[in-house]
Amino acid sequence: MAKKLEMPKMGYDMVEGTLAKWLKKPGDEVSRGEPIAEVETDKVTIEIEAFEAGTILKFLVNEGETVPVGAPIAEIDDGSGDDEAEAANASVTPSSDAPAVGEGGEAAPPAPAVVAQPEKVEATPAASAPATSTGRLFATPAARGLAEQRGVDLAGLKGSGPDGRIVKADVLAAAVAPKAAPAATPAAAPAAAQAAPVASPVPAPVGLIFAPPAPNSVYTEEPLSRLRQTAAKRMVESQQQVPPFFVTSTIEMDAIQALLPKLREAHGGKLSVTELLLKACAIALKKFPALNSTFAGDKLLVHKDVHISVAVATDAGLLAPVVRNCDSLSLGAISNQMRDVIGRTRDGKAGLDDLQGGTFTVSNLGMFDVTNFIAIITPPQSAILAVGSTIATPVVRDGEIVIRQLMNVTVSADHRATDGASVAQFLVELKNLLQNPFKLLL
Amino acid sequence: MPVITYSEALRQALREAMTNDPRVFIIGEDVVHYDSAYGVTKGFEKEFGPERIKDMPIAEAGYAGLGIGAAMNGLRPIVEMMTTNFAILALDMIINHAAKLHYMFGGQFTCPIVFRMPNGYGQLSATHSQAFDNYYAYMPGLKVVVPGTPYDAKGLMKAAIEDPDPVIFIEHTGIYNIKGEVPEESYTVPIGKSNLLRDGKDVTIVGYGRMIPYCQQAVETLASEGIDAALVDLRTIRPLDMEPVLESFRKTNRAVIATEEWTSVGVGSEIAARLYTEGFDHLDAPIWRVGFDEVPMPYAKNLEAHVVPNADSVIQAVKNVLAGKTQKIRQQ
Amino acid sequence: MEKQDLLADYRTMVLIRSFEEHCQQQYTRARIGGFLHLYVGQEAVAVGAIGALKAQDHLVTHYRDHGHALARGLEPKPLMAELFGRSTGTGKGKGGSMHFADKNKNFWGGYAIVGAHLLLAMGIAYSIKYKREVLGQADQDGVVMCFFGDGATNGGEFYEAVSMAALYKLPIVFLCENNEFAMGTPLSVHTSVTEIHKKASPFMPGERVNGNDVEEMRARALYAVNHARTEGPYFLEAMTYRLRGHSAADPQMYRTRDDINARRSGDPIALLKQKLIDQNLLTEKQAKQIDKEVEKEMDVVVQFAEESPAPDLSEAWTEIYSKPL
Repeated sequence: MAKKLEMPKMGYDMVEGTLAKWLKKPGDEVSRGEPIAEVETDKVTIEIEAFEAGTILKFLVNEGETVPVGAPIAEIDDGSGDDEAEAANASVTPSSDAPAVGEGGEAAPPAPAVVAQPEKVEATPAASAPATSTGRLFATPAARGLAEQRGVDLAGLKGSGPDGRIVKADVLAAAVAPKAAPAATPAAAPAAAQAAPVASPVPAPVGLIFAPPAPNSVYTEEPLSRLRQTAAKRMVESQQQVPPFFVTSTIEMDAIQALLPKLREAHGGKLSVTELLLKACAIALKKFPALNSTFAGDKLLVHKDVHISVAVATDAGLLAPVVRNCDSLSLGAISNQMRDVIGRTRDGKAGLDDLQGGTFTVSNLGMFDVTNFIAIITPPQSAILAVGSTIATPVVRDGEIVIRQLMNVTVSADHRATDGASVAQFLVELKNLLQNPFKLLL
Repeated sequence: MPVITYSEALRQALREAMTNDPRVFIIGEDVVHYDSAYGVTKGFEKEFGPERIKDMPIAEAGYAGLGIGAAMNGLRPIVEMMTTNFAILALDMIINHAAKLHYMFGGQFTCPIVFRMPNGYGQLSATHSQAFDNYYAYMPGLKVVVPGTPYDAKGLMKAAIEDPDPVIFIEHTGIYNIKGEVPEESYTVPIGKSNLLRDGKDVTIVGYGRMIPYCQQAVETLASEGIDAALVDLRTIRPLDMEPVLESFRKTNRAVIATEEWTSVGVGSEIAARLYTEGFDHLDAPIWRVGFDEVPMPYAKNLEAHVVPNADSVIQAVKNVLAGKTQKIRQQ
Repeated sequence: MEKQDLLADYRTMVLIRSFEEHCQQQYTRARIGGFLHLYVGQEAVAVGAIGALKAQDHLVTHYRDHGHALARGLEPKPLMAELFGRSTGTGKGKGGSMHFADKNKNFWGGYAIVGAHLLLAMGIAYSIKYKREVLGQADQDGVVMCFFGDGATNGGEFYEAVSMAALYKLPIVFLCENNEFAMGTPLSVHTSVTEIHKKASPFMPGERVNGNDVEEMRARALYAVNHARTEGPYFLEAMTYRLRGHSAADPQMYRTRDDINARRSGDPIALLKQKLIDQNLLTEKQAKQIDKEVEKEMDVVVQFAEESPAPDLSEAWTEIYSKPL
């Protein structure tokens, strides 16, 4: 049977070795313990021994070549008479004499088992230190902690330590002093805030608050379309007015993936996971209508139909065309309608009707290799489903480790309209539907 | 309560252990015929017989190894090194063997041994006036105690002899004669517990061993000047117990570390580092350290006095800390 | 010596050799890390000398400790597991090749600072005498046997050990395995007194013996142990030769392959085998059978090590002290 001789470890710190010289040639008999090659490490040259007696079948590494510890360097037939293996080897051996490296790919030795890869270094954005023209304020950690606790502004203090260092005693003195100085500080702050936009070259759109860039920063100006300005306003409104909460669930997509090709065949056109998601959401939303509602102060407006907005990235920005009546349409009909409206949206031909009237949103970033994400609710809707990529993952099932296609979904929901338990139940239903996809076909 | 010397307190602990446990025996240079270089075990041979206390050849590694082998095989040796300067001849035995045995053999062997050794100086010049506390405190597997009061000397010695692990017991020739209240009855002071000797609100002084009497003097003087200093005695320098130090520091926000050693890379450096890391948010002034000036010990009386710390060094350091000054350590 | 003894000794020597060869193999396959010092060629010293010890006697040795452990009767499985760094090892994977030990067999371990363990051995011998004479434990009649190499006889600790052992008349046998090299430095380069036993002669009786002859080794060790038990320390210098490198990664610049081959005639296993065959105590066929059985056992030993779990990471923090505070 052919056995592999590996690059040996010849010292506690050896990670690779250079095959300096073969002391035998293919076809030679070797006995156990007989030197077979010389190996150079970064320190010494050492003879290495055959650990199996037998016949050298072929060399896998050329003289002068460096390979990691453990990489196979030669094959030795131990004479145990495993016919099958020997027959297999016989077919490989003929041209084994000194294979050329780098030329004639077939003859090249197998790649070493371990290939060193440069570590991927992620660039971290440089921390933008608050640039103040006055420089660093020297205060001891104890002084800083106490100032925060007592609401004392360190900037207004004169330090009694060496070089004006603010120490704990200074903060204590300020904290018991009359409130005159602290009172002046809040008054000054808004004035500064108002001054900033005036000094900035960027005109402020009405109703949007933003921080101007630092005075000396370099940038180009890119005007935003009305669409993006509106979207920006909506997002701010959502964050300011809607108290969101988030619930995540993991769904096994193996059944869906098995079913998809057959569905496509039956449908006779394009069909993706998104349509299945829409259908599943529609069925689940009918069971948990609070997620398909609009909060209206003293009442909840529960929508009768399920119109699902589908987030689509377009040249003009993020848009969400609406697929109507998902609850009552078949998969095929949903798919046709969705592809139609998305096509119009991408072409810039979508009308207001195409983009308004959604009662729930699905945002699928699965194609971008994201594990999961959290989406912002678009009022007047009460909930949005964020869908991550489907990833093959080892999981434990019945005490065994098996590979499953897992997809994470996260619901962001308006806590004024619904609650955690309802969303959790909605997700259980969604999971049940997607893991048993025949229910989507009924 | 009787008031006795540090030396007598040690003697009481040793005598008690020798009386109660025949596995305990003392070996060291000049412990019998010279009748003990510093008198701690004076007269023990008459009391306990020649097999329980034995003069050793001047071969520090040799009798350290004898003690370690005997400890491994179930005895309770107390190895007296005449001074810490000579004990470094036995560092291999202590560091490569006593400290490692239990761990590297997977817990099969224990090494219940006590190494006694005094620091000290007194115009003895460069090779006889040193402190190596940090050498031992650096080493996982050792327990290192350095009592600063007669009470702790007795209680820690009892605890060290009873402890199943190797204990380095560092004494000091300069405080063998200080006096303090020591109960006659048997007691132990736990290894690995620091002790708040005096509470205060202005600054925390941290010390151990020989510096404790100096620190106590300094605290008195400072109090008379209206400065309220807390004093924490570490007592054990491995494993360190920082909690009492930090507890005081969180109140005072300022610290002086007083150790009789070269300041750089010493035990005090570790205490300072712990305060800067574990106590960062409570820091209100740079920490000051008190120790030897970083020169080999000179012989001349005035030079020696100039480079060793005392109560005045501690007082000056406290005043510097209160003024928020920054210390510069000079090495040449 | 009875026929059975020699055959058993032969088997133990073959076991040690095979264990070492498997170690080398596993080292080159990176299953064993660190340093690996093999005992190949010196088997007769350990098997001959340690066979002279009784259960109550004590054994202390140097870092080339595999042969001594096996000769003292330690199971090969936990030894190989220790080399693999596994939790089933003698030191739970914390000691490695140089620190085998078994308290239950009075095997006080392998030590890796050359010469230092002579002092621990002397201390153990001191404690035996103390227990007998001071604590009145009459059953304390054990002898300590301490192994070390020729390279360990130049440092101060060697002289401190023999001097104090003699001073206190301790029950100890100092056994120098003179394999002619201190790591890679030849005997004549590292000492002016190349008859090592003479270095101890002012302190105690001693002699040079053929460490490649397991029969002679046993006979002289029995004498030495008896002397130590009844009168005081004794010194044995066992002449032998290391047939492999100082460690598994030794390019052996200090000698040639021819040098080594010339010494193969002294291979203690070959010598004993020939002797047994000449005396009709063993046939070639039986010898092959023994080789085969040992090989088979070693396969199981390696498999045991390989399949044993690595220590739990929490083990890094246990046994720093026997009484944590």
